[in-house]
Amino acid sequence: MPDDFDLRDIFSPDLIFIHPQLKTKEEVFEFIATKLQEAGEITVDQVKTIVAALKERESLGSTGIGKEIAIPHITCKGITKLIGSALLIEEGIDWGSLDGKPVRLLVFLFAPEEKRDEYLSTLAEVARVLHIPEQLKGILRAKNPDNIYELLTGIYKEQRFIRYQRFLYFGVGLIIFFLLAKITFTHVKIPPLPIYQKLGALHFNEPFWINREIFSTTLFFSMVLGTLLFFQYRVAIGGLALSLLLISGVMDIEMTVKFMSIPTILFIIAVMVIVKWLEEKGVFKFLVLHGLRYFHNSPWLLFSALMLFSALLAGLVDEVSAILITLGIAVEIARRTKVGVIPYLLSLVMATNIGSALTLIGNPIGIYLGFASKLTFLDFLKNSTPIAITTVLIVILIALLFYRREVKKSVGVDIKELEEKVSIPSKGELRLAIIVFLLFITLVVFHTFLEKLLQVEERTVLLALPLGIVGFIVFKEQERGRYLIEKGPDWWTILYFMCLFASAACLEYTGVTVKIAYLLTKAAKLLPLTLFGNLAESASILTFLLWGSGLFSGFVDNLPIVAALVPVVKNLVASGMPGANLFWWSLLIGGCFGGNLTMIGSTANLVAIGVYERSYRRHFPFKRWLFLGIIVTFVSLFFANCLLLLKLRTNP
Amino acid sequence: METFILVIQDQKEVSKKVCPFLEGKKGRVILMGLISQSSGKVSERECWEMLFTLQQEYEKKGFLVSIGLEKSSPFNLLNLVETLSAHLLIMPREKFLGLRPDEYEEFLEKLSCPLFLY
Repeated sequence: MPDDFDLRDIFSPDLIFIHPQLKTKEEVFEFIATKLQEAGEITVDQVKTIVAALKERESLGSTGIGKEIAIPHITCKGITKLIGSALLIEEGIDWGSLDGKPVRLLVFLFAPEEKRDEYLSTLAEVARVLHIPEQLKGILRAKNPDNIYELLTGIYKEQRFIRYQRFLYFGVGLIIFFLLAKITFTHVKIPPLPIYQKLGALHFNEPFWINREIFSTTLFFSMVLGTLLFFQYRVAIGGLALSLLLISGVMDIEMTVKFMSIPTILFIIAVMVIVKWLEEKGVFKFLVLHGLRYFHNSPWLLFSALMLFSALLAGLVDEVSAILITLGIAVEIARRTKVGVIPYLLSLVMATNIGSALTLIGNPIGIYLGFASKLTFLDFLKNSTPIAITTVLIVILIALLFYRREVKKSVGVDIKELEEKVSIPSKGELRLAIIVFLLFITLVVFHTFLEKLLQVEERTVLLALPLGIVGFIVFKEQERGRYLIEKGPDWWTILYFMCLFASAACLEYTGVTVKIAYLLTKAAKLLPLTLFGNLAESASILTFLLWGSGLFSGFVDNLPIVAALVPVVKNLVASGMPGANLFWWSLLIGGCFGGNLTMIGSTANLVAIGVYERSYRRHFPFKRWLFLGIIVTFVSLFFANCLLLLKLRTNP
Repeated sequence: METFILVIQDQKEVSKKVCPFLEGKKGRVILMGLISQSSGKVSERECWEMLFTLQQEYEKKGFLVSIGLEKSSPFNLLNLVETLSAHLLIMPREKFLGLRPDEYEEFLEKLSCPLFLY
């Protein structure tokens, strides 16, 4: 079978039509047959034969192939060559398609009986072309027949254009990053103040280091842009960036390994294995369903409790596991009560994103911050937990207000029935897994105390504990242990994290972050929040970091921005700025809460949409996300900002 | 009228193992192609061609036939089975074995009709 297939031999612009008024199959068939006759492809006598043949073809089974497309195709006598024609109609016609959607695009194929093989391969090519989402979207939106013809037949040009378009964006981005870095780092000079002398940052003004600053900044932001444009190749992009840093001599091997933050990576891997094991044992489903038992009498309480559990689970496990478990339950509730699942999905995923800021282990950015800034689990409990929990409660109220009609309808859910549906391998295994889970959480909470007791370095217990539990799991599960190690961690993401951490830490090493920190303090002096007196500059930076990381996280993965800003905050803390310790929480909360802004804002969002599309076989409506997403993001960031500023004022 | 959802993979296998099973039966056959997201355009076109060929074959046998293709996992079929109240899901063994061990149980639990593996 040829790789390229030219549909221009079969379709011609004269036989492509847009017709707003056709309402029935018969009207469509008669219209197309008449047009064929007018174009001289068939005789007047053949019009009726063609219409009858098309009707007969439909009686054998629908030619609708879903996605608003039908491909009526017939072989008939009197036709000497393959003829293609297309018709776009304004309002869909029920065509009995598999997905139940009415048909708007009809692509006809008429073939002579002797050309069966060519006919089938052409049909296959047409179906394939129409299944390319960008292609179909373009055709369904086409304003004139020429557009349809170009999209239907110019597929290869189009695909290449889309591919080259991304490279073009990347190239333009790279040039912009380079120019911005060059202008910034050539002009920004660290002043010879005692604080910068103490930090040993004055040598970053030398041309040697300025070149390194330009290079590492361009590379880091190109890596982030490359990840955005070619997400499936993120590991390749990370690897390339790292190899360029090594070959250019900006970093050496020792530094690369150090910058990869191996303890953070090991912690993430271990937690992923533990979570996989606990999931297999049914711990999370059991705990959530058991908890929901107490709320099933009121739809309001049930909805709120599910959101709250989703947030708590995100804080105690991770956002992806949390959304998978609670959304699974929500889908069941929605099916049983015949209420749409979208209100549940949106509310749960938003609670999950906010909940992931509850603790150190809720989100990779929390883990990265914990290890990079030497914050303890108790620090998280003292600072981010109260903010996240109150924000979750506010978001629950917003969701209840927003979806009051749907929530009201979801009555009569029998949680016990749902519990029976959940298959739990064995009660003994479940009990053991719950004990391990509780032990893990308890010991992680008190890791600082244990480290002092054992007189070991900070974070030793935090890292040793999950590794020990993984050892226990693998030992206990024997053969299955290998499967858990292989399938538990998302190795692709882990490798990407390693490249990302190293590239981000390189920004600190080359002096980029100290200059950004200096620029931030300068900007804060220009735009101080005067209400806060001598803390005006700190308040300004705190607000900037929160909103900056929040809004950025709405469109790009939150980890790169946080990884790049961590050394900036480190510099600000080291400079002795009052209240700078609160900047860590700005980063964490901004990164987590900002994920609610768009559908691509966090991994949990993408997972939830995947579950929806898999379960309901339809695309998620983008507009429904955006409306609630904007409200929740702005309200939650505003509220968190107020609480952080209050904290700054009362306890700088 | 009985509804069969037949997931295709290899035309010869379908003709050898599934056709004799459906021989003499009447009803609706939904022919489904299930390919991975990363499938190239040649394999996608081959799958469509197989679908159109089998569509003609089954129509000749008196079945009412619809076709469809999904770039996804077998889990996507569950909703189709439910929506169409299918009587039987016929699937290649490889597709089922392609699921993760922890997914077998979930798949069977959610499937609302018998499963025939070929």
